[in-house]
Formats: sequence, structure tokens, C-alpha cells
Amino acid sequence: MDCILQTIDLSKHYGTGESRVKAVDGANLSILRGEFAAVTGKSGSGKSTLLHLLGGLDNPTSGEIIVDGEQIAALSEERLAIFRRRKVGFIFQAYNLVPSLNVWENVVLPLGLDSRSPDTAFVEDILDTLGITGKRKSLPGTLSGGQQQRVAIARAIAAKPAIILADEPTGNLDSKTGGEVMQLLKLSAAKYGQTLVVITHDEDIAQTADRIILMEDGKAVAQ
Amino acid sequence: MNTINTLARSRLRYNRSGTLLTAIAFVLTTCLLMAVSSMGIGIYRSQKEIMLHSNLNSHATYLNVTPDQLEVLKRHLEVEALTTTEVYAGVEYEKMNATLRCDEVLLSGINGSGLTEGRFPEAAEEIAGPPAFFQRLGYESPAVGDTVEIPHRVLGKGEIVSGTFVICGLMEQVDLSEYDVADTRIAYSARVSGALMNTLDDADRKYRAAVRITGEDTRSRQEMEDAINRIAADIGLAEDDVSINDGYLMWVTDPGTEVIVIVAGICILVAAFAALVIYSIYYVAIITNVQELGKLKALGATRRQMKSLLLREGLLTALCAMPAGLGLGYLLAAACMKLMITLYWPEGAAYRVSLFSLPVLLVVIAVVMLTALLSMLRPMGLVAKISPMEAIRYQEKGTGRQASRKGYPSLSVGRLSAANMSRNRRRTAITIATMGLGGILFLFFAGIISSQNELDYVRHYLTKGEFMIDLRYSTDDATYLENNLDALQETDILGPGLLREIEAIPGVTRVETGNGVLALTDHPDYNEGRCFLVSAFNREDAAAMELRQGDLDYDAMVVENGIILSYDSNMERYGFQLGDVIRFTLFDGTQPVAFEGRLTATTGSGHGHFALPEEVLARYVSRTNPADRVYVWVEGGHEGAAYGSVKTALRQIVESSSSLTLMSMDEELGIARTSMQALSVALYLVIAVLGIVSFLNLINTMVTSIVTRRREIGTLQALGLTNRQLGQMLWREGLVFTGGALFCALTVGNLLGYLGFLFARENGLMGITHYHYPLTETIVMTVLLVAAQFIVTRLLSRYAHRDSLVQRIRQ
Repeated sequence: MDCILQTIDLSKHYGTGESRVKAVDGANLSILRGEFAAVTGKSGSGKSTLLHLLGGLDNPTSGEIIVDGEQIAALSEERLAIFRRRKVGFIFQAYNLVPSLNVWENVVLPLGLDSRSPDTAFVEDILDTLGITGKRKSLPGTLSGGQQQRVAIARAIAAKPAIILADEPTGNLDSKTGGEVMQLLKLSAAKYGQTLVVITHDEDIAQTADRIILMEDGKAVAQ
Repeated sequence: MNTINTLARSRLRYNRSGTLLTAIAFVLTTCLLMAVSSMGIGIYRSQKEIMLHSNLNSHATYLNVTPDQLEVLKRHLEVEALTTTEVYAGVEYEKMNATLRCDEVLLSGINGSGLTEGRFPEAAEEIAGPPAFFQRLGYESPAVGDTVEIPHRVLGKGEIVSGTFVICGLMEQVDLSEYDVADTRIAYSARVSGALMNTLDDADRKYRAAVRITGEDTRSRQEMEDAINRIAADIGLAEDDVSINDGYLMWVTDPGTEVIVIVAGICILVAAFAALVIYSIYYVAIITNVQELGKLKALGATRRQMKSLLLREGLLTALCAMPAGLGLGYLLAAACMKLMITLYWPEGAAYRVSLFSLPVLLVVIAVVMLTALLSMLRPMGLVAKISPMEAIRYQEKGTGRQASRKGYPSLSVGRLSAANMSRNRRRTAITIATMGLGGILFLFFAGIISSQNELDYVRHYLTKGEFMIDLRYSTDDATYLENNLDALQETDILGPGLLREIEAIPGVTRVETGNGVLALTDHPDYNEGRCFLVSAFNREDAAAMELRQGDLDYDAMVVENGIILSYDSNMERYGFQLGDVIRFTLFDGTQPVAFEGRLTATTGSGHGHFALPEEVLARYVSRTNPADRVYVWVEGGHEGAAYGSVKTALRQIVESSSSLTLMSMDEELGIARTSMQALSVALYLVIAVLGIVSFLNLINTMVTSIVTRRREIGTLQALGLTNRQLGQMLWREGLVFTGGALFCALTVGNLLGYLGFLFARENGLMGITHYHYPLTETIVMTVLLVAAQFIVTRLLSRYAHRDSLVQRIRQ
């Protein structure tokens, strides 16, 4: 399998002088295509910052990020937005669904932003896989936490991105629902051949991953 | 409570941008209220000073007072000042419009024109007058001691005599050099002595008695008017012979009600509008802060404490903003007063008045605090109702607890905007309504101002064309019969010869005569039995007439000898009713002709006392040419290139005859403009005020739309929304607001503007007669609104990037 995501000496520092915080400090890692990688570590170890850097939501202080052969740290803000909608699917802990759009619209949103028409059969298949077909016209405010996270997963998959980045996707859910959601996420990613990078505190979830990346003081210490 | 104070202060500091926006709203509101009320004070005080020092400081004038009545008046307890005026003679020199009069101060206190040199006349042959009076008579440099010859007619009757007078004094005069008005529009007068008046027969003497009565400082305007009428009754004077000096009483008696009403009206408008804007700022602040407020509640804050927190925040902001607003408002008022005086109100410059008034300052402060309180009432209620759990989990939902939406199979930026607008239907509607309200008020005032048109005003008397050559005539001159209209018409002075001469002037496109003849009626009181003018109108004139009563069917009037009463007020005065048969003696030249017609309709004003269709007049007056005026049209109108040369040529024609006068469009427009401008400036100021507040509202709306959705917008950007797409989305949303607001303004605003026009016309306000659509104002408003929208959107889409994307997603 080829390498889809690679970082070289990746650093993200905040502040200056005494108050300088090294959120990510010279992280080197590479993730293979189709792999399921779990990023673990204590609070403040730099997991979320790493994920944001990988997804092009934040700019590194130094170092390189290569996604599917492309150096993203050098991209302009506009190009970065286009990169995100084509290459990356995000799943956030707080779901971050758009409250004015119904389930279907939320799922096809990244495609719409890229002026692409959705592959209706594909999206329906995802909804079916995630068990939310009956909720397609519902507004997010009426759904349970588990249902909302399933919509977020569908949204991350629908644009067929190369990588899905999930920041504690089960953090807001009870353990049973969390387990179900994780199962669905893995199933979908495997079904549609996507690479999955998940930040988690949950040891059980981490254990099911192909690889565990442990973050400590901003460094990827074990892979 | 100290904790609440500390919390309020720290929240204000933390939410800096929100606090700043509210503070700006308070500064602007205070500034506008202070400016409007200080200007009101300034205008009121200046006007009062002008009135107190003017020659018009009498409370009323009693007319046709006999010598016996004057004796009683002089001794009346309530009369504190009394000056009589008697007209001795009318000056008969060329076309000069002048009188010789005698003013006598019986009880001092009424201002009169002062002397610049010499003294007032005492002996019968002495005269005092302004230098312009003597210069008009041909004495280039009049001086005290000079002898002048003045042709005059004593009491306007009998033969013209030439009197020899010695100038004993020169009087102050009004500088008319800046006004380009024809000589015939200027009224001159000079003073003669009481000794000369005593040569008249007592039976002929009638006084005009200007009085000031006691209690100006303590009585209200109504009480003053009642007292004036009571005194008239005491000396046996008819009500018609009392002329109350409304202009003076209005300004000097407290309160100056009209100014207070106008200023209070504008202030209420500003305050209400400001309250709405501040309310919407607070409303949004709460929605964005609902989680933090929920935490406070969870920590044990009571409903009362929550309300108190918000109230303190609001009052603290208002108090901090107020000094700046008061200062700015005062400076703005001072600057506006100076501008107004320089441009339109030179009389105002004579008196330095303070714009400051402690009661007004206190009222402004109270109104601002009240505005703050009012605008916070609902947000306070909202805060009190927040439940801690709901608040912590809060995610803005659509109104009506909408559970689903039909949606679209695929999305675009346009559909995203539409979804957002429809989710917040109520907020969208409220925003459009508040933004629209600004536009509605704007177009309401603009509709009135644009209808205040000097051309319409001038068309009251110069009804057609650019020039009117009028006949100078008498109606009842028993001595010089040849000066009466009937005799002049016998000479065919406005006949084909004159018309051909006018038509031959290069640039003249049309010449038309207007007809009018002298008449008498059998009504016992009408015009005190003297002759009056009956004019003729054609079908075209009829279409332009604005009727007060009755209907105008031209053909029926021709058949039935229909009559129009020009002055509607005469209906009540003389007891006329529509359908009445009225009998006239018309004068076909000097030959009387009996006429009988039916009163069909009335108008507010017109040429002559009555008007008949021209076919009707022609049936009765056929022997002589009934023309009494000539209208002249010029190529390109009064702004055309030929206007000046035509005016010069017409002046020459008019100067060649002692019986012709010329009325020119440019001069009349100038006179009308001077009287209209000051009010327009005041109204445009109101419009500007509304514009500023509306703009503030627009900024608030757009800031709100971004601030409340920072996380949502962040998510969209994380999912790949580019900056360009974000700009497009905000622009579309803004267009819905501006489009909606424009729609409200153009429909409701224009309708109200038209109703305002109808009200002004009905009540004879501001010389308004015709509706003029405020096209320029509408275009300016539309362009400004769209441009403001564009700029605000641009600035705000940058503001949206102030925090990093990661921060926004996490909020």
C-alpha cells in the first residue's frame, strides 16, 4: 500500500517567549492508503492540533504535510478550502451540522460547495448503511446525538474524500451509541476504501485500529 | 449586588465589539436628540429675539378705529402700548407703489422704524422717509432740509395734487438689493405729521391701532387672544376688524407650541427608532451569549439578578456613551444653526442666543435612559426565562419548532443562503421591518419635501407661461375714470397690436390673453358694494383647477352659465351655497350687462372673485376686448437661452405704458425659494438623521448575521467553503434584507409620502399643491443602501476571519 499522508518535522507553536506553547513539536508520521489509524494521548498532548494541521484547518509553524502527493502547507487559503472539500472528510466531536439544512442537504453540502452534483445512489447507500434513510428530511435539531454523528459520518464520506479525519467522534455519546457509531464509521470507510484517522481517548476504540499513534508533548512517540 | 456590578463591567469589557456597537448606537441617539432639541431651542430663542426687537412687536391691530373708539382704547386698563397709523394719501408717481402715512405713539412700547438722521415730522409740510422713497421719486441724494414735490391723492380719492414737503428726517430701510424683484412689488411709505392729518375731516379719519396688552409673560397664547377680542368688544369694534399678530404671539408666549410639537415629534421618532435598533442589538447579544448566561443561572443567579445584570450593562453603556453624545449633539446643533443662518436666515445672525437649556438637557438624558430601558425590556424577559440546561445545550433553532424541511437534492451557495433566511424567518422579517422603517420614514418626508415645489407655488398666480403682463387699474376711481378697468378695456390696450409686438420678440413661442371684467353683484354685503373682477377660464384651465367644493362639468357650465367662486372661504362669509343663483352686472367696457348664473363649484384661490367659462363671458361681453392680462411663453422655459432677452424686450414694452406691469417667472421663483428653503433644510436634516440610524441598523443586522453564525460559518469553511463563496453567501443574504427593506420603503413609504402630501395640501402647509414623486431621493436611497450593504458585507466577511478557523469550529 502507498503512503497517503506524511508529515516531516511538523511543528505548531503558539505564543512567544515564556508563554510559548509547542502544541505539535517535530512530529513525523506516515499513514498508508486505506489504513485506520487511531491517535491517542493525554489532554494537551497535541492530538487535535495535529488533526487540524493534517486537514488543512490550521497552518504549521514549520515542517511539511504531504497529502496524496500534495504539499498542503504551501497552499493559499482559497486553494486550501478546495483541498479540504475534495480530499478530506471531517467528523467533529460536536457534530457541527448546519442547523438550517436537513439531513440530506447536510450530507451533500461538501459536494454542493464544490459545484458537483451528488451521486444520489451512492449517498442513499451511505444513509442506508448508517441507518438514517428515514431521517433524510429531518433538521439536525430534532435528532439525537448518535443520529447527528451518523449524519456527520455520512457527510464526511459522501464526497468520496481520500482521508476521513475524526476528532473524538464518540466523545459526546454514551458508550453503547459510541460503539455503534465507531463500527459504522469503520465499516463505511472500509466499504468505500477511505483512510481513517481518528483521535480517541477510548482505549477500546484504539485497540481496533490498524495502527495507534501516541502523542506526547507534541511528538508522535509511538506508531 | 456588588457581584452583579462587577460581572456587568467585566462582561462589557469582554464583549468589546458588542459593547462598542451598543455604545455607538447610544452616542448617535443622544447626539441626534441633543442636536434636534438644541436646534429647536436655538430657533425658538432667535425667533423670539427677532420678534421682540422687530417692528412687529404688537399683539394685535384694530382696524377702522374711529376717533371716539381710540379715546376709549387709550384709557383701557389692559392696553400697555398703543400706536396709531393713518393713511394720508397714495403717491401717484409713475408705477410707484407708495403711501404717505402718519404714525402716532399714544402709549409707548411698540417698536417702529427708527430714524438715521433728523426727526419725525411735526409741521404740516414736513416729511420723513427712507432714502429709497425719495430716490424712487427722482431725488438722488436726499438730505434733511431738502424740499421735495410729491404727487398724491389724499385718501386715494379725488384729484392728484402735487404737494411740497421739506424732509425733516431720514429713516431706516430694508436692504432689498439682494432680491431681484420688480419695482411694482416693492411697497414704499413715508411719514407725514399729525398736523397734516388734522386738516382732514374727522368723518374721514379711520385709524389702524396697533396694541400691546398686559400679561405677555404670564398669559398663554389663547388667553392673550381672548383678551385682545375682549378689548375689541369693549370699544365696540367688530370681530372682522381685529387682526391678531399670530407670528409674534406664537413665538413670545410660552410655550412656543408649534416648535415644541415639531421638535418633540422628531425626538420621539428618533428615540423610538433608536430603541428598536438598540433592542435588536441586545436581542442578538443575548442569543450569542445564551450559554454564558445559562452558566450564571446554573451557578445560582436568580431571575431578578439576571435581569438586573442586563439592565446594569445597558444603563452603564448608556451612561458612558451619553457625555460624548451630548457634546457631539451640541456641537452639531451649533454647526447646523450657523449653516442655516449663513445660508437662509440672515435675520437670525443679529442675535447671539445660547442653544443650552438645562431642562432640555435633563429631558434628553431622561429620554436616552428611557430608550435604554425600553430597548432592554424584552431582552431582560428573555434572559430571565433561560433555563440553565437549555442554555448550556443551546443551539439556535428555527421558530415554530420546525422538525423537517423539504430541501433540495443538491446544494449551492444560493440555496445555502435561502435555507438560512427561511430558518430565521422571524428574525429576517424583523430585520427587514426595522431596516424598512428607516426607508419608509425617509420616503415619507421625501414625498412631502419634493412636493414642496416653488414652481407650483408660483403657478398660483403666474398660472401659465413664463411672463404675465398685467394691467394696472382701479375698480372704483370716481375722479380718474380712465384708470378703471372698464375704461382701459374700451381702449383695447391689450389688443392685437400689443400681441403682435410681443409675438415678434425672438424666442417667444406663444402669447395668450386672459380675460376678466369688472362686475357688481346684488348681494348686499359683497365686497362692500364695490366692483370686483370676474375672470374667464377655458377648458385647459378647467382641467388644472383644484376644486374645494362642487363638480366641474365644463360643457354643462357653458350651457347653464355656471359660476366658480374663487375663494372657498367666501362661501361661509357671505352665506353662499352651491346651486345658488347669483346675479351680476358685468361691464362690457363701460356698458353694464345683466348676468345671471348658478354657483357650481369653489376653488382655494384664483384670478378675480368669480370665474366663468370663456364661452359664457363671450356671450355677455362682446362689444369690447375683455383681456386683462397677457401670458407669454418662451422657448426653453425660464431656464432657456432666450429668457433673458425676452424679459428685456418685455420690460421695454411695459415701461412704455403707465398701465402695464410685468411679472417674471425668475423673480417669482426667487421669492418663493427664499420662503421655502429654511423648512426644506430642517426636513432634510431629519432625513439625514434617519439615514444615519438606518445605516447603523444595517451594520448591526449584518454583524448579527455573522456573529451568531461564526461556528456555522467556520464549519462550512472547514468543509470547503472558499472566501469567495462566503462573500457571495453574505451578499445574497444582505440583498434579501436590503431588497425587502427597499420593497417596504417603496410601497409603504411612498404611500405615506403621498398621504403626507394630501394632508399638507388640505391644510395649506408649505405651499404644497401638486404631488411630485421623490425620484432623486428614491434613487439616492437605493444606491446608498445597496452600496452600504456592499461595503458592510465586504468588511464583515473579513471580520469573520478574525479568529482562526479552529477557534470558530470549537466555539
